This record gives sequence, structure tokens and C-alpha cells, in this order.
Amino acid sequence: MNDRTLRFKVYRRDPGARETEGRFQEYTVPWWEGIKLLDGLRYIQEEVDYSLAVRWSCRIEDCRTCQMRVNGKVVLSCQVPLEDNMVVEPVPRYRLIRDLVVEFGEKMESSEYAKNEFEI
Amino acid sequence: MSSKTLHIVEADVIVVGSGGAGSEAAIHAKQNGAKVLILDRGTFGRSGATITAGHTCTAAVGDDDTPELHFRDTVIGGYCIADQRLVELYAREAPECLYELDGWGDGKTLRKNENGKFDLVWPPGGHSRKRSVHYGFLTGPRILWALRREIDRKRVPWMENILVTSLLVEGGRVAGVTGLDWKTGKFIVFKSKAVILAAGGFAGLWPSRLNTTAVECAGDVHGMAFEAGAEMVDMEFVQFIPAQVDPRITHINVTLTNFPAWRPNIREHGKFLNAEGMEFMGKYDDARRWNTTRDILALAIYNEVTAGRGSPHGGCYIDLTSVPKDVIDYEFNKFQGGKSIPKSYLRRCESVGFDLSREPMETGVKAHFTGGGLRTSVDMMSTIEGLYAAGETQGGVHGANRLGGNALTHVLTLGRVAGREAAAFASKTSHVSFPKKKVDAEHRRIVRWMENKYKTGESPVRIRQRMQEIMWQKVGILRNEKDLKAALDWFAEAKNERLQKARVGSSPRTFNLEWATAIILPHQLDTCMLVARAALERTESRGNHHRDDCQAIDNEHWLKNVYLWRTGTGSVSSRTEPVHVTTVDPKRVIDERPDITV
Repeated sequence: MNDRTLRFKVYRRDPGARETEGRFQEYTVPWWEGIKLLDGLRYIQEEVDYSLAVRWSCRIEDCRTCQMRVNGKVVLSCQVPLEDNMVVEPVPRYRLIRDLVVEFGEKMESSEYAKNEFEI
Repeated sequence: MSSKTLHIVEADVIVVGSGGAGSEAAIHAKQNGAKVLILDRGTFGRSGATITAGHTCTAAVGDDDTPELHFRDTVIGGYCIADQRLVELYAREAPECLYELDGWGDGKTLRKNENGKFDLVWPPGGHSRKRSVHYGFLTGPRILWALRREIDRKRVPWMENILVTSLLVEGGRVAGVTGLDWKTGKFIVFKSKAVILAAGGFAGLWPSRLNTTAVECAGDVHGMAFEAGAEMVDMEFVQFIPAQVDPRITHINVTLTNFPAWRPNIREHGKFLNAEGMEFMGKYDDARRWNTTRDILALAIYNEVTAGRGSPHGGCYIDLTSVPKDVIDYEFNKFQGGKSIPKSYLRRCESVGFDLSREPMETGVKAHFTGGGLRTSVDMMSTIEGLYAAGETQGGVHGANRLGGNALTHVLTLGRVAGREAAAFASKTSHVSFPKKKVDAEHRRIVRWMENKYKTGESPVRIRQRMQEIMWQKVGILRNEKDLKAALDWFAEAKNERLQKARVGSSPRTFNLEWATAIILPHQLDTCMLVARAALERTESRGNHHRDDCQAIDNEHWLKNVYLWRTGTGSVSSRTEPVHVTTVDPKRVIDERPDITV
């Protein structure tokens, strides 16, 4: 065990409850070797705050549904190591369902970041 | 709930799941004239385990290969208890299915050689011919890409973020499904003449860190089908596979840890070692060693770790440090082809500070593929009229162990059969009467979690976590009667008592993971029960099912499959039936191939 922790900020907003403004909530999670951003978010959802909305599927960089914006840059959260002071927001240009979860819909396929790098 | 507020959507054929099996099924149902609708609980075209398939998709397309040989290898690889009628069908249809799929991607779905034929490579252990069709390490994503193109071209309608919560069955016939729309929190009834369950396997019943599947493959659909009256088969067979346990690289595809075993170039120089630096596979399969079948490899790693010869994170070591640099570069970089290869394993490993040409890779075992599922006949219909199963949701196709590369083939090929047959069924039947009472009861079951009747109570998330740990500890790789019975007691108590007193504390109605957990947990607990029960019934060790209280394979008594179903009173009943044989006589195989009886 270790006592090291990581603290970062997560965007929260529930349009379904007519919240028009988002806010940032700060969370602290334990550090472990190799911890990714998605691990941290899932830790929060399972251990700290069951209400956090976060989407993922394959966990191995293939499905691209865990994409989100970290410090302004779109990343795959299953791939990015979790660091102190990260600011985590949903990806832009999609309709927000809640917190970090957006509705991908038809737009997913045309999204630049959703593409698998195929050479055709 | 009043009928005014009830949202009803109607189709001929509802397909649950949009992975390989669901997409194939939907395309073929539409092609055969049915009004189809695909429902996916995740993101359309992105969810499910197909996308995680790294490399191989097998089919008898080589000059020296035949569907009969593919069939035979599969039956033997499954320790002779796969349903031979299903294996025959898929081995026969596989080449045609892949040619069609290739066409959907304008002839570029899968990689070709200089003669314009499929580029064939050796599949993982157990296949006797070179029959892996592939697209580098992106075969799964590439196949989904082609399926998506065809779905768009054929204008197959779909809805995403729909969690299917129950099957509607009236008078022994399927009437549709109920679902929860995560985007809005609305309850929707889907009426249909046929339902195709293509929602993946149940490897998600094991802890997330110890399974390799996609999150949608949570194992609830099996329990849901069981509750509706469907008969289940082979539930004891769960494939555990060598997978990364080094936390730095757990986000990297499991192909990385399996690929070296069957690539002759890497195997020649690489080593597969325990923590004492010993090459141990000779003890378990002297002939094939590292390139043995997955069941033997998984058990071997598990044994080494339990004997105290494991790595810090509970695995063994794949040591590629003495493989020449050009071989590494070819296998993990160029083999994937293309001008830019940002997803090459070398580059992905580099990004987290892991260099496989310098350090050995820690490899443990995780739940990967589940061979059990709904019993179907050769038209993919389950024991409920109008209810079809395809892909990993279906049972009986692989027997006691699945050969590498056969998963994609199975889900695609039998998925298209399910689509075809469901469309034919729908064309000659009408909708059954609407089971209003069942819909109301299901609606109440779902919304009650949001009414917050209790001020205190355990979260269903906690119960699920405990359930997953118990699946690993007591219904894992090595089983015994005592553990299985204890697990069964726990599942019953969790479902009948703990879950009844549980409470969903979070209030949002959209994308509420805690609420979703509460909704699917009773079905997951049923699936856990089915796995433990089938494992208890099978008093031998075979393929992926190992009992330390019955260690030997017992061909005299167990060339059989275990079937489970729900009785009228709600309890579970079981029976065994001799395996369905067409042309490969298991008794003769055992005489000819004593190695599979070890």
C-alpha cells in the first residue's frame, strides 16, 4: 500500500435536471502504478460518488468511446496516465447527456478523433 | 403505468447488440425483407467484444484447406463436445461470409497477398492449416468498420444507449423486449415478432481487472433469457487467456501477450518463463509447449503462480529481449502494414514507458471468452419460439475450449444465419398479443429503484463488486465442489436478500450507472448461478473447466453437454445429453489422439 494520492477536477452537469451551467468537482483518488485517467474516474464512480456519469467500453484504445477533454486536449482516457491537477471535461461538439458522457450518434463516424487509423 | 405514457416501438425483428453477430444478423434480416431495429446499450458500432479482436479470423480459404478440416480441428480443439451441427455450419459458411464482408469494404476489409487472395497466416495453437485471415492487429475494428458501412448503405435503423431490461414472452413465443433509454431515462417497449440476442458473452461477471471483454458483455442477457424460459448449454466453459498484468500496459490489447506464442519467428528466439527463470511449458504440453491451446496455457500459468513461481503482479514472463531487433520491428510494427501505424504495439508500449525489447512482459490469466449460452438449433432459434441467439450469447459452438481465431468466424457466420432465419420466421408469423401485465411489472421493477423508499441501504454497486470477486475466487480457473456450493449459496442470498434491501442513492435519471447496475444485477446473479451450477454438474476436468476434486478427463461419462433451465416454480433444473455428433466420432478421436485426453 502507499499513501500517495492524486487530485483532479471533473466537469459535472445534468441537463436532464435543467442545469444550464456546469461546475468542476474536485476528487482525490489513491495512486497506483500505471493508473490511467479512466481508472481514476471508475474508482470515483465505484467508491466515492456513484452518480458520476462516465462512458467506456473496451478499455484497450479500440472503441474510442472513453474519449474526453483533458486540459483542453481530446484524449482516450483508458490510455492517458492520471496526473495531479488534471481538468477533465466531456468532448466538445456532441450533445451532452450528463457529466462526461455525450451522445455520439451518427456524428461518431465523422469525428476526426473517433477514426481508427486505417490505411486504405 | 398508463398506456398514454407508454412508449412503444414496433419492428419485425429486434436485434440486441451491434457487434459482429448483431450487425451481421441485422444486415441479413433486412436483406431478407424484415423490418429490423438494432438496440445497443453502448455506442452504436463501437460496443461489444468484436472491436477488441486483435488479429485472427479463421476460415478454410487456403489451397490446402477445406471446411471439413476446419470443422475437425474445431471439434477436437473443443475436446469433442461442441455441437457438431453448429460447427459444421459455420466452417462451411465461413469463406463465403468473409468474401461478402470483404466486399462491404470495397474489397479492402481484409488484407490480401500479391495475387489478390486473402493473406493467410498461422492461427494460434490447435489449427492444422494456415487459415487466419486478418488486418494486422486491427482485424476486429476493421470488420466492424465494414459492417458499419453496409448497415449505412442498407439503411438498417438502430438506437444506441438502450439498455434492454427484459424479454417479453407470451404463450411460449417472444413478443419483444423492454428497454431503458439512458439518454432520457425513459422506459420503452419494443414489440417484435422475433428477437435476436447478440449481446456478447458473460466474461464481465469476473472483476474488471481480471477480464478482457468489453463492458457491455456484463452477462446479464443470459440471466434475462434464462428467466424468460430459455434453455442454456455449456455454461461451465469459460476461457481464461494469457493477458497483461503489468499495470502500465493493461490498456493494451491481449493480442500482444498471445501473438508471440504462435508466430514462429518470435517463438524461436523468445522465452516463456516463470519467476525462477524456468521454461515450464514442457511440463504441461511437451509437444506444443508455448504454442499449445489456450486452456492448457492458462492453467499452466495459474499453477506456476499458485505454486509461488509467479511475477510480482501474478503472472509469468514473456521474454522477448533476445529476439533480434529486425524481427521485433517486423512482427510488432511492419506486420500491421500501412504507412503510418500509430497503433503499433511497439509505439503503444513506448507511450507508457514499456520497452518489450528490453524488459520481459508480465502475463497472467483473465476471463476472456465464454462458450456457454443459449441453446439453439441449426436455425439459431433458442428453445423459446421467435427468440434467436447469435455470437457469444449463443452456447455450444466451441465445446470445452475455443481455438484462437474461431470467435470472429463463429459470431459473423452464425450471426448471418440468425438474421436470415429470423426474417423468414417473421415473414410467416404475426405479432403475439401484448403482455401488458408483464410490461407493467417490469416498469415497476425499474422505477422502484428511483423512488428511494429506503433512507439507508447498500449500493448495488457494492454487491456487484463482491459478486465479481466471488466469481474469481470460487468459480475461477480451478474449481471444486465446496467452493461452487458456497458460491451458489452466496448468489442466492445476494439476489433474494441483499439486493432486496439495497438502495440506489444517486438520483440522476440519465446515464446513471448505479441505477443500471441495480437493474441488471438480478440477471447477472442468475448467470453466475448458471455457471457455478453447470461447473458443479460436470464432475471431471475438460478444456476450460478444471476441477481440482475431479482432475481427470472422463470420456466414458462426459461426452455430454449440461443443459440448464428454469422450472415453473422458479428453481433451476439440469440434465445432460450426449453430444450432437455428425461426422467426427469422439471415440475414434480419443483413440487416435491420446494427447487430448491428458
